[in-house]
Amino acid sequence: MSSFPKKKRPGFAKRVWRSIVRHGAPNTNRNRSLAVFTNLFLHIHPVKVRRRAMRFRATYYLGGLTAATFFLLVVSGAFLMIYYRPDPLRAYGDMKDLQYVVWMGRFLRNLHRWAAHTMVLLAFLHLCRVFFAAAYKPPREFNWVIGVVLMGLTLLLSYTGYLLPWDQLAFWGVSVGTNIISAMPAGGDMVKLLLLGGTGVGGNALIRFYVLHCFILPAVLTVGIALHIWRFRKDGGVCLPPYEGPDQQATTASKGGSP
Amino acid sequence: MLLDDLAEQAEENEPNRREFLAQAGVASLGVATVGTGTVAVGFLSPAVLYEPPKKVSAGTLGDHPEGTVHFSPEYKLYVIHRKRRLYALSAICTHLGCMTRYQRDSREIHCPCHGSRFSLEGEVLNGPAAEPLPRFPIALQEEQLVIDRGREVGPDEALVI
Repeated sequence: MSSFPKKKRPGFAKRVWRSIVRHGAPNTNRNRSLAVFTNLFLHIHPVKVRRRAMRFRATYYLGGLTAATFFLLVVSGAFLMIYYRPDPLRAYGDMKDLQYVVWMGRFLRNLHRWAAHTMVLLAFLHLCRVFFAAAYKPPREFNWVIGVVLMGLTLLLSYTGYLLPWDQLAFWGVSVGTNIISAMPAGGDMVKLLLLGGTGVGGNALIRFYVLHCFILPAVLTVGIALHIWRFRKDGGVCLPPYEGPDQQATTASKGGSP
Repeated sequence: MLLDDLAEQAEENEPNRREFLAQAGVASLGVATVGTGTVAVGFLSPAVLYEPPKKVSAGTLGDHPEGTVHFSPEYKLYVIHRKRRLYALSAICTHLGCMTRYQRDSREIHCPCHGSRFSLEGEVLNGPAAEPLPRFPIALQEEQLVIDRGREVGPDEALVI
């Protein structure tokens, strides 16, 4: 006999939605902040993002694009793993099957290859941009070190993937590379033996490079990227030069009206 | 009187329980790290190598007439009979380990990877290789030629026939 109107219980779909997204529509500043803070993928952004940090020419989006190519490589690589067997008797044939027999196999293999080249290029350009923007300076100097390690891991991933087609280029490329490693003054021969699992490139080397390429290096790289982005966020996001233009609010207000 | 004053005073240099436990923890972490490293290296080191043996047979003297250069891709070596001398050369380029090839027309040994060239005696004719091709000893054991790939001999050693 209450005089208050009974509050209607939200419907099932709405309750499911509310269990996943626990804030309201992003139409207030508070909800907009919550949308970022409560989302694992969006919270890589710092608490405050400046408008000029989001501009394309501030970063050319190089770091994000490098991460995107890595994602592409993980997905296309997982598809390739379905047909490829790292065995000297089968590897080359499986690679040829992917090219000529498997539906879309050639597309996925080429996608993997081009994405790999693109990732190396983008990571290199990202390093260059960070260098020229002096974004490696304190307090970000350790993040620069992590970045250089990530670049090294990217190159190692390219190199370990190079052996997997098991053709002449792969075989001699890795023979030469591991001989360069064995020229290392201390423990070079030991590293070569552990890497190849023998005195030369053979079945042991193929499966070792396969494990490095498909599991160990991507796992380390993923942790490294997480660390890299986390530090980047804690340091306040994109490193910008001191603002020298007119007042920030003035620019947003006079949009299109400035000369 | 404060309660602390009642507690038994530890000796100056004697570590207390907390410090001891912390040190024991660090030490056990170190032992675990060394152990893990040792196990990893031991596990990764191949216990058995399914590779051709170091001492290999190269047939009989009749298989290598004067003026022949025989190439064995499996054992990665050349057996050369030249000027009444029989000797074995490694076929692995001394630059970065590619397999060389005997060129019949120029009577030279070429490496396809970076263009090193060797004479039939194993000397470097052209870089980037800096070292000559290693020469392995050949022994005659009951009519059979046995090459020991695990040993290296001087540049003039050969089986004089």
